[in-house]
Amino acid sequence: MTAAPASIETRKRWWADRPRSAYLARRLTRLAVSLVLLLTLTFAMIHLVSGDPVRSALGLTAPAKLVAQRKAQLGLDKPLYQQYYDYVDRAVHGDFGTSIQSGESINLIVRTRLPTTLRLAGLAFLVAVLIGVPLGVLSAALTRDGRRRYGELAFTTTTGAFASIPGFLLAVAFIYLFAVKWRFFPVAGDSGVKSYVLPIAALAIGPAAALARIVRVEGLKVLDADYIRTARGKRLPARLIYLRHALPNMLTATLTISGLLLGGLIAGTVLIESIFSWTGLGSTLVNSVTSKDYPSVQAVALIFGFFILVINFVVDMLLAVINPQSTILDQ
Amino acid sequence: MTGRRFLRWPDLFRSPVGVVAALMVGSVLVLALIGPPIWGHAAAKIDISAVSQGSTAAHPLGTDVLGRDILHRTLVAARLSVFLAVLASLLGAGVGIPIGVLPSLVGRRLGRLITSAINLAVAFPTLLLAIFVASIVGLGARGAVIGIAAAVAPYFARLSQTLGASVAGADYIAAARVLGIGRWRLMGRHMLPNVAEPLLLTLMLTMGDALLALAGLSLLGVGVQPPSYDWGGMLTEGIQRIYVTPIVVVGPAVAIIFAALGFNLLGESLARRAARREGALPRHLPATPVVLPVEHHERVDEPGDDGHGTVLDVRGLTVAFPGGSVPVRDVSIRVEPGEIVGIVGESGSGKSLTAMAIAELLPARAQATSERRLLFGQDLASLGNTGRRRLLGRSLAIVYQDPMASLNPALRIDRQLGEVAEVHEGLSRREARKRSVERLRSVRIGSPERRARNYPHELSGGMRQRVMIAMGLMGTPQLIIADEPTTALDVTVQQQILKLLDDIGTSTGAAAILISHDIAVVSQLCQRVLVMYAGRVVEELDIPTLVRQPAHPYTAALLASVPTMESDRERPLVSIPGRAVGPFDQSPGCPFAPRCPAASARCRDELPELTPLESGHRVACWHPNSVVPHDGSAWRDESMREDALA
Amino acid sequence: MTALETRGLTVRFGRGHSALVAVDGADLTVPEQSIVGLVGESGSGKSTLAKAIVGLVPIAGGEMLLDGVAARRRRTGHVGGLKRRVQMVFQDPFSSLNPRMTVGAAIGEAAGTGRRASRAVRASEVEELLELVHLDPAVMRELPSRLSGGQRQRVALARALAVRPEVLIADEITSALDVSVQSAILNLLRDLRDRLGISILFVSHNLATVRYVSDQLAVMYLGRLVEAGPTQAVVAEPQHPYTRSLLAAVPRLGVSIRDVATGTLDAVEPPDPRHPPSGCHLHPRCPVGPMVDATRQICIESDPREGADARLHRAACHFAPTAPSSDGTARYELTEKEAR
Repeated sequence: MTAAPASIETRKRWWADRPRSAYLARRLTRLAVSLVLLLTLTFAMIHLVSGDPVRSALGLTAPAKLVAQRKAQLGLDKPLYQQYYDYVDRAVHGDFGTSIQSGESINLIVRTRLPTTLRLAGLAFLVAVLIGVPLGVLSAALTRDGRRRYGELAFTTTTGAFASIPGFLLAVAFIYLFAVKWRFFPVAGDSGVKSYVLPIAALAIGPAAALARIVRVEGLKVLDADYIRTARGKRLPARLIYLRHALPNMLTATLTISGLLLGGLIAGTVLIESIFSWTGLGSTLVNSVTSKDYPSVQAVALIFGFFILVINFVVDMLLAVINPQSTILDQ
Repeated sequence: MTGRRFLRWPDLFRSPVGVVAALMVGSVLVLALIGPPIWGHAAAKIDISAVSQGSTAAHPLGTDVLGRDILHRTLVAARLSVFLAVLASLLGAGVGIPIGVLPSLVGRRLGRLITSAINLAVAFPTLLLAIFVASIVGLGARGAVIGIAAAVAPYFARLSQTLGASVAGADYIAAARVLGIGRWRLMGRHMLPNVAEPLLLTLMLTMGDALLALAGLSLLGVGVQPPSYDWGGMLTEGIQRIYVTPIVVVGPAVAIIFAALGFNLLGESLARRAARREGALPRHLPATPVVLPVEHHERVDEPGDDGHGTVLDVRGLTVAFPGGSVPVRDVSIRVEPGEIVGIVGESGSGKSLTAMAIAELLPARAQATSERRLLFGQDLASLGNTGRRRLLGRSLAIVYQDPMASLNPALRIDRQLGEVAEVHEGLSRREARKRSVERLRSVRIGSPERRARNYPHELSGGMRQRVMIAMGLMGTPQLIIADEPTTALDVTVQQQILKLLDDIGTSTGAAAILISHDIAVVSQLCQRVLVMYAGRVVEELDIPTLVRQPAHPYTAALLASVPTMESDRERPLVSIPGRAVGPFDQSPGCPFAPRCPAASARCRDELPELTPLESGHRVACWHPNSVVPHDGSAWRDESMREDALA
Repeated sequence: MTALETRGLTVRFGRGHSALVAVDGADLTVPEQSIVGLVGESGSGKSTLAKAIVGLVPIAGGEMLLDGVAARRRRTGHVGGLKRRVQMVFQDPFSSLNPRMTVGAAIGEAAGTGRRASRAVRASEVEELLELVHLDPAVMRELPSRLSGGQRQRVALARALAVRPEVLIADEITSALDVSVQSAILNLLRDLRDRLGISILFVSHNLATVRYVSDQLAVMYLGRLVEAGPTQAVVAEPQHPYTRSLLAAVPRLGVSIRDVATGTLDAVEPPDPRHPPSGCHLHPRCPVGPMVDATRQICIESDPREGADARLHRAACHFAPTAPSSDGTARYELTEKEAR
């Protein structure tokens, strides 16, 4: 009678067999904690300002009655924990408070202006990715193994130059060249397709160049890897080697960078909106900062922060799908 | 000059980019120093008659709203702009670096919390963070600097944490601890110098970015407030007048770009220098035309040498790289059907490159030439691209050294196996999958259906190597090239893989080439062995002869220097003094002569050809059989000494 | 007569269910002026044991004795208070030397720890040490990047010897070196043992190398010591099935693979080190164990290290013969010749 191996199996935790579920759980927890942290920090903002925030926003000449009225409106006279609770409660329900300057609800401002910013950032992101990634991949394929040394130099110099010129300078240059001197495009405003070209170009070119550089470096690393040599050894057609073997491995780093890029683009909208006089959340932020309208600053910080955290989360999830090994390495 | 100093400033001047960058940064710093004393007066001169002008003879870059000359103001503003940028960077680094070091000093839980906070902060865009912090601190230069410092600090924290972790894990740190070296000396003498360079490089790059960020903040009204002025503030003023007098933007814009670019280029070129020094980047070899060693000797042929009926017949294979490196020199190898031939040699002998050359898998910049190259009796050069691909894809199997790196981590096993059949035999996805499961079973992988759906990282090392073998079996291999297939495996697993290779050879009738540095392994599987040294075949013999009476001094030395289970423990092992010549060597004689006890003047001047000693035994030596194997006395009594730097 | 000894040494990583017991109750003996070879495959715990002895990894249980005296344990569980009497040389010659310190500075720093010595004295000591490892003293001025792998390992040896240790641990020091260079290092180790009288614990996965250089041989499997004894004896008459399989798997020059027997060790995958089999860790794969002989249930139920003292080579196997002794008691003792 043969005995089956009776090695006693010690009880494993439920996630030992399901690394991907464990990964999902960990990332969700991290997202939740980050959101709480975000809420707390943005809440703390108005309380960290030295002096009286309301008074400094309304100015020294403002009547005391107005100051008191605004304070009450903002709930600044209540105890701290009460304020915190109200703040979180309101934020969760989508209520972003009242402006110090106008006394009106910020929600309307947010509702009208957020789409503009999202449109700008989103389109710029698409443009940056659609230019940067193929450019990087192509450059990696053409210059691997030290081929085309001059091509590599040209690529590096051009992308390096564009990547280091900040968006606002490009914007200024574009406005001067294409709107003032040659009048191809409107100088400001966000109506009509033509008015989108310059802002998106100014916003996307730098990130596109940076993305192309990074994708190229990753691509070179991947193309140099042993498993590509195996694929070549199997005499697979070049198309398969690039699309099936190389691309998924290149995507990992590309995806991570794209996530950061999108965050950077959201930040970039601040300047671009100001320069092109678009009414989006970015320009709202600028006005709020200069007029010391802290609740508005808080609201924008909250919204931007929320989007950035969610983007990072989505990127992590996509990474897990593309590269299952990362879920285990994460431990 | 032992170059103990890090950063190696003189290195900088070897590359044109480095020189340019150094000049750029240098000029900006000089300007910051001398600008205000020299031009401060001119920059402050108010001229009501020349208010808000464009470019004129007196004021080539225009004037501002009070008639002050923009050019002079740009030059003077260098000091404040550079000062603020440097201050913000230093502040950010000063705060960030210690925070990054913290997790390794405090307990695990707190450390992980700090790490998460750092990762969170890094995810936020710099500008946003700077704006928010600046809005809390207050408008003006102070707010801007603190804002940027706060935004930059997380990057430094993450960098110092990563660097610290990598250095802390290095063996020399462990060795220092075991040696009892004190904590402070450890940090100051061992950790800091190895960490300082990347940090300083990042600092330099940060200064460039800080300059840009300050300008950005100014544009938003959050930067320097009048009456102070920096480049950012001047840019803001200029933009407001861009439609009327666009020239006023040029001064500050060019200054900002110039300075930022200078810092960035400087940091980047220093980083490249450092990476190149540590061997991370390949040296840019000069594109000299490759000079292949031209050898006119009589080649002594064996009878019946026309290559038909052989699995592989290569004659005079030479592989060269641009720059003068010739790692494979005049190698000839012949494999009959069903044979297992071994190639033995140490690292640098050229054995792996020979295998890759045979398999047509050399990197693009390599140049391989040969007198004859017949695979399965066919000259590969005469086949078209498609024909060659199909022949190689179906009939040639390759097993690589590192199975983890040789399998694609992003694809499942069945995909990597199945595609061979799909591409070369036109099988459908399902059929190919079925065949891959069968092959997995034939290489003795348990539960092959389940394993086929796995990713490579879910398998053990031995299993991965079996997968590689199965991949080669997807077609109908007539030749298997195994390049150090068991080097990365445990000895018990190695035994299994070797047996598997042997069984496959028997069952499929395929011939094999086994490459290894381990003579014992080669002797277990092969019937015949080629011994390679410095890119050449120095001896070709069968296993019994190898064990009893190798003729070449190097072969004899190799056998005598490697301990086996039968080695006499009473006698010291033979060790070969000196080092092997490299692939750039161009000396005329036998490559082993400098280290050979039997070397004569002829050996140093004339290269010996592979000549037959007996049937099936060829040696490239002027004095074969002059060194008795296992006899340590033939070697100078330098069995423990190793030459100083060659 | 014993320079170093471990009793029940245990190293554990992690906690609870997913804990990894890298070293499980190891009783290792390193006699004076001898070389003890510690062999095992990947996952055997041999490197971890070496690191624990030297204090680089915390000990979860058991103790270590140096010259008969138990070594102190720090609060974190690491061995402490060794005062440099045990030193280690690492596997990777490229990361075991500080890339920014010259050879002379590195060895000099080691020579100077814990004592005041003038620069001149230290310099002459460095020269002596370099001579000891057969390196040209001119090497003192060089940075490690200019040296070959074999030269770096010699420098690492010189650095370790600078503090005059009683025991030297060599953790796979030849594995990263070229074949023809390894022999020089092995010869050097034997020379150091004879000249300086130190003991060496030579950790390696290469049985042939270990057999050549060691006086005593200890075999590890999945964290446990399964056999230990004089090298000649263990190799000639291995008592433990794992040792036998290991010896059988070592490639012999000129012996065809077809003449090598296959055991059940091959057929079964190595177990997960986090969840080792019960009783004898080898039982699912043992060529003479319960998979082959169903009556040997004891291998599944009880730890074979109990009673190991009575067996030849302290073999951790229920079915290893006990050592006969002249007075009838089953005890194993080193004869004088074997102890050398």
